[in-house]
Amino acid sequence: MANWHCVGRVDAFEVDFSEEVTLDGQVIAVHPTEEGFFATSGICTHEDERIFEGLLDRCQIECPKHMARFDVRTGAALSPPAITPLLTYQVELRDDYVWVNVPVGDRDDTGQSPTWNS
Amino acid sequence: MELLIVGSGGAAGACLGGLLRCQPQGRRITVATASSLPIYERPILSKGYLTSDTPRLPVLLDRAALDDHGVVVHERAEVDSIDLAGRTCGLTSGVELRWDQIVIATGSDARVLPVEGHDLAGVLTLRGRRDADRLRDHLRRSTRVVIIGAGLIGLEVAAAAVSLGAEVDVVEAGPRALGRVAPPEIAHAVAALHRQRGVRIHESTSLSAILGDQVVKAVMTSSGVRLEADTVVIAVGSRPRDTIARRAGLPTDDGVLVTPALRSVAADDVFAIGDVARVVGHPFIHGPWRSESWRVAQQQGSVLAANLDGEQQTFDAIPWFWSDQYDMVLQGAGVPSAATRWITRVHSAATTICFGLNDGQLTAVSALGPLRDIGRPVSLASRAIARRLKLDIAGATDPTVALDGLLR
Repeated sequence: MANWHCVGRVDAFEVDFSEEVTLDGQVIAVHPTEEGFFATSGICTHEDERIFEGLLDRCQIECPKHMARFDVRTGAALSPPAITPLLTYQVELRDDYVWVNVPVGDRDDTGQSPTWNS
Repeated sequence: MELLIVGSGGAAGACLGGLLRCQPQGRRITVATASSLPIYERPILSKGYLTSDTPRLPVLLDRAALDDHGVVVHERAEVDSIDLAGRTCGLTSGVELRWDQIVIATGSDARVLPVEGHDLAGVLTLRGRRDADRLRDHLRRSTRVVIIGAGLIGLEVAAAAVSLGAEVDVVEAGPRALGRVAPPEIAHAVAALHRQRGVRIHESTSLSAILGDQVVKAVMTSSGVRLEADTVVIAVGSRPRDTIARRAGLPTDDGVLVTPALRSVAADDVFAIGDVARVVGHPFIHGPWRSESWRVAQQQGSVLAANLDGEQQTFDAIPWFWSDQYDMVLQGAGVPSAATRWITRVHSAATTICFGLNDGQLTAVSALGPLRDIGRPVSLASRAIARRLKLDIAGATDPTVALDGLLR
């Protein structure tokens, strides 16, 4: 079930500077890119680290701890040491505000499995 | 098509990981490794693995994952010989493996010092998980630990030992800690973290002898000081395991010489990655270069996997490393040895970032501080090094000037 949250004004974000929000207890990173806004789970899938403090560049975020890289549009793990993708969340701009959907209950993309160990 | 991978460390793991994402029909992968499964990540072995009450090995690929993909694994299998003309590989067990392509990912061994007493019980080195299990066990029973070598591994083990309650001395032959990997400013700051916690670092001091009677009792230094010890850790770098490659007739020079595509400079279908590989022609590094870094091993594994799948990638990544030093993080990127000048940005009381320059061009970055303060600047600087950025020195040393503007 859809569950939309407003996470701030569009102009409060700066392109290529990710921000972190906690929605329904889930840490989520919001990524303002040149292609628009994207949202992913906020903790690196390699080791527990908050990825929003990493470098966002051309829709890729690099975890500051061990330089794992993810595509924020798809969540895909692009570079070791990460194997497992980030979860992605729907984003919508409504008027001047950014909204993120954190579905309640089952979701389609939680079934993503590690690409190496699968 | 038979692909043989010799070794099962981080480079082999990353290569296999890449290959198994889209394993084509008709390619069979065999792994021959002197150690045993699973393939795991090694950095933790000198850090939390030593201090944790319940150490956990971060597994990259286990038996089930390899079985699922039909990878044949020979564990505890020492390679005896590689025949380049006949395209075979003999194991000491007598098994002969055929290959069409072979990947040498044998890694490195901890260097040992040829001093009196190096073979006493309680004198240890650290490479793999068995070494780490042994060291972990020793550290828990030790009250006096002497570490030879103030490099990254030596200092990480020092941090582990002191946090387990031991008295710790570190003996360093060079004039300062971290001589190979960090500029003086950062090295001094790291040494200060250790001294605050009671670790004694003896610089410009070498090891004369290790004393004991079957079991280690003390270390004698070149300055004539006797340091009591119930555990001695030798952490003075590593040597590539390239003997088999050399005996096969492959060009080696402290490592198997490979092109930036990670192919042997002299043999098609022969590749080397990770600690055993020495890359000739890296675009940012002058001269043949061998890394001992976890990240480089991974990157080389990934590049080679892509190339074995028909791509034409080269390994041209800017070297990067990290180390945990107590509650601080040390990160470095680029080529410190290429820097003729270092400039310092004092970001905050706890955070220092140094930029290495050569003729105004950024060649290296080294930073110590909390991860939130240094992660992003090091990432930015690493990319700027790849772009051969001429750094604005006045801006870079002024902590009120945003680094994003200077380095992007």
